[in-house]
Amino acid sequence: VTTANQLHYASLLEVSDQLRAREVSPVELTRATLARIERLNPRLGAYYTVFAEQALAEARQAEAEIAKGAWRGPIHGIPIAFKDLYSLGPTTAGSRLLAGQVAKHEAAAVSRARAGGAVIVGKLATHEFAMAAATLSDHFPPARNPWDPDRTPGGSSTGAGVAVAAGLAFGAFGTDTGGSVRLPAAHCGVVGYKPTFGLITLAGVIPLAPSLDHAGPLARSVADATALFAAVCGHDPNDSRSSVRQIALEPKDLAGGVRGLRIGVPRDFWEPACEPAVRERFETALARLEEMGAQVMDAPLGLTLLQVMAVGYVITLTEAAAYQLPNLRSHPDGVGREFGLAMRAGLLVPDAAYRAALRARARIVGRVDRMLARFDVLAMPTVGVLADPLPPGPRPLSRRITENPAPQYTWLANLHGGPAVSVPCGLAPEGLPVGLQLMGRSFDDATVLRAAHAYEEAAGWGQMRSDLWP
Amino acid sequence: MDSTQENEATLASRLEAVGVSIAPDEAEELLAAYPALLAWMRIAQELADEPVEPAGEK
Repeated sequence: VTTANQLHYASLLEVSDQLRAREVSPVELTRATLARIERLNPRLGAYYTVFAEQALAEARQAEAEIAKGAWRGPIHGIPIAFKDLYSLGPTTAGSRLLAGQVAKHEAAAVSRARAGGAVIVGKLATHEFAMAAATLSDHFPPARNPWDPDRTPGGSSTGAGVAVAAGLAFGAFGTDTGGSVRLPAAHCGVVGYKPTFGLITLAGVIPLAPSLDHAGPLARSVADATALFAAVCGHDPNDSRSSVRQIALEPKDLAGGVRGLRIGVPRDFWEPACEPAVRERFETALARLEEMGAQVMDAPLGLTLLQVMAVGYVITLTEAAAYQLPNLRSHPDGVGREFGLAMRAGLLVPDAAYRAALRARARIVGRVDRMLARFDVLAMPTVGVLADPLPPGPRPLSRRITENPAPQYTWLANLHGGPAVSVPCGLAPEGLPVGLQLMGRSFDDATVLRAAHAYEEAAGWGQMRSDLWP
Repeated sequence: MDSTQENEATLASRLEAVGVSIAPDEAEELLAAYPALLAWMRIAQELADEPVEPAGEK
């Protein structure tokens, strides 16, 4: 007999089946999750806030509903958590500027998860306003990588990656402007899914760069991520970015494998900046996909990583600085040093340069669309380096604004707007996880997730856990 | 005026125009990153200015 205490690394859907069959109690599951958070969070820093009493009340309600047959769906009674950019109770965006602030309204995605019966256990650590890298000297202690607590878990949804990887939640929601769901997923060895732009409402989520921001789930399997997506997706008239066109997608839609799937590999984009350890894991993943029947071919994109990241950053810095301008005027010292400097850099971008970046973005979208006319999905590593050590203090601005940026291959999908998912593809010799990223056509999230699910099932990396947190 | 002084003047006047202050040590750090920001803007401009490829071209 499995007890709630032994389920912390189980998949969300597996636990959901057990809850529905009344083999496990939502209350016991929530108690076990809260106890694990209490025990491990001081060392891992995944959560800023834990809603212990409220979560237990939600679990009791779920238990009563399931007992009388009123099962709401796969996340009913499941402990999950939200990045601290979603308005819900104390909402800080990881900034001392907002420390002590309590949200007046709940983010729409939170309400949708609540309507699906989720037990919301807390708010998760983030890079300041989803941008400045967390450091050891921050106002809020940084989240730590479960595979090596002296290293970053990747950001900006740091706590979401850690909570899912260390068994402190069965799923989490982050935000992704340039890779902030997929990067922590890659560095923590879990799944991170950025849906097509506009499929998950951002109403009530503190923005970074509104034209690039996405909401997305992190989970221990592709099917779990799909279930989390399905629970909160749908048009929201209160979010101007919400797409009227929507998709229906459930875990059962992931079957089918990759036989005959055309996978393009844009080596000209990712290969020059990639570390050998990451490349080796990625090539092994490609070989596995080929063995499974996929047609893997080179797909020259005609874009460099620097072009893509330069365009992404010019747009992000400009939009973020415009949003933060009132804060910068009234509280010039209210934000951390790296974030404050990055925002001031954004204020230096002339209107004409921002408009040029938007036109360049359209060129990038065109090139990706041309590739996706020939291929069903594009494959590349999620990020070309392993997780860095946590810095002792703010990094110099020239580390972020540089002509030699850290190789984050995630920006391409934010600029394009189509779906992208990061799935674990093994461990580097240093014992740190590596992520495989698959991206696809807008609104064809199903193909991308189906391929990721097939790879995950075949490769088995979805089962890997750090042995530091048994 | 050399290019560093020019950049310093640009930076100070732009921030002043939008009513945002900056400490001297931060200004120095921003100034050090400014050439890379200019490079990013130039890269974006060049990509934006590339001739449009005909639809259907592979």
